[in-house]
Amino acid sequence: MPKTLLKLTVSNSLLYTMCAVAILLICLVSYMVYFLYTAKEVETPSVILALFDDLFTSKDFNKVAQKYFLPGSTGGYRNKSVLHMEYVLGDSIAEVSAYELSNSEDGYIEVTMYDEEGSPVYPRFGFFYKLTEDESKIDSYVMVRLQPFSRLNEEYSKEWMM
Amino acid sequence: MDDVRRRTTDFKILLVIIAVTLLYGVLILLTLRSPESLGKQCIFLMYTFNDLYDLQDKESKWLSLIDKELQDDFRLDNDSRMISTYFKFKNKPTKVEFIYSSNSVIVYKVKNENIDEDRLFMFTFRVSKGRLTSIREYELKGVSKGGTDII
Repeated sequence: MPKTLLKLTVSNSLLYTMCAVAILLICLVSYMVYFLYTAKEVETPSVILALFDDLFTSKDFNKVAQKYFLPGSTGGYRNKSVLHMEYVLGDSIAEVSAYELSNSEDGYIEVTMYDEEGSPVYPRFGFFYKLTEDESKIDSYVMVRLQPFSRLNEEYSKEWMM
Repeated sequence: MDDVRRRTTDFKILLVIIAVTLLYGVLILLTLRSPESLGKQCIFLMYTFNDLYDLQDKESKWLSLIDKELQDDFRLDNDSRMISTYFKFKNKPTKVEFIYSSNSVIVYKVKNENIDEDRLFMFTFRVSKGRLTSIREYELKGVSKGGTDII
């Protein structure tokens, strides 16, 4: 085989390999840009929405706990969730007439509560959750009030200072 | 022979173009970070330091991760931020421990001799054009858990 033709054959196979790798790489980069760098809208599970709809309508921690939380192996889990809701939401729930999900992602929502005049009741609260397999009840949760760092922040609450 | 020489030259040019494309792709892959890792890196830079000088050295690095319109809120010469955050560390070595992280929420603890080790902090954000935006920082209060540990 003449030398130039041999060189051409080698270049050809290398070219095809590089073409394939380049296409794969472009696909991979596009995938990463699309899925990792694009803010995705997360749909809040219906059981979570129903929980807060019920909670802010009835304001009955016991009823909500019975309906949406797992009883737990010792039976104490539901009771604990009642105590937790009472502790985190406390008296502020009495003045709440509406709520809004201000941040929602897979396994977490942030809730802003509003009083009858439409003013926000700060601080907001966050709810981390894990649902049962059939997504009908809350298996595990963490409920917190979100206290901003700065006292100058309008969301800062002296009630949750300590 | 001229035809073969021309084809060889064409192949060489194509090879160079593909090589440059590959290199560019690899560079993008190396610099591309998920929102989660971007958020964690920002927290790590802001709250891991030996002293104020160390913190000053890192300032430009965390600012480079934050949307330009928000950068002033996170500068060390922002009195409000300095008082509400860094004064509490009393210039002592500080580290962070990540407890929970996702693409828009990170929960962490601060390891500093002046901060109670049980306190939990949260950093929420979005990513736009490769930078952190819509940043909010909170301390988690009244932490109440049920079931298996989520955070």
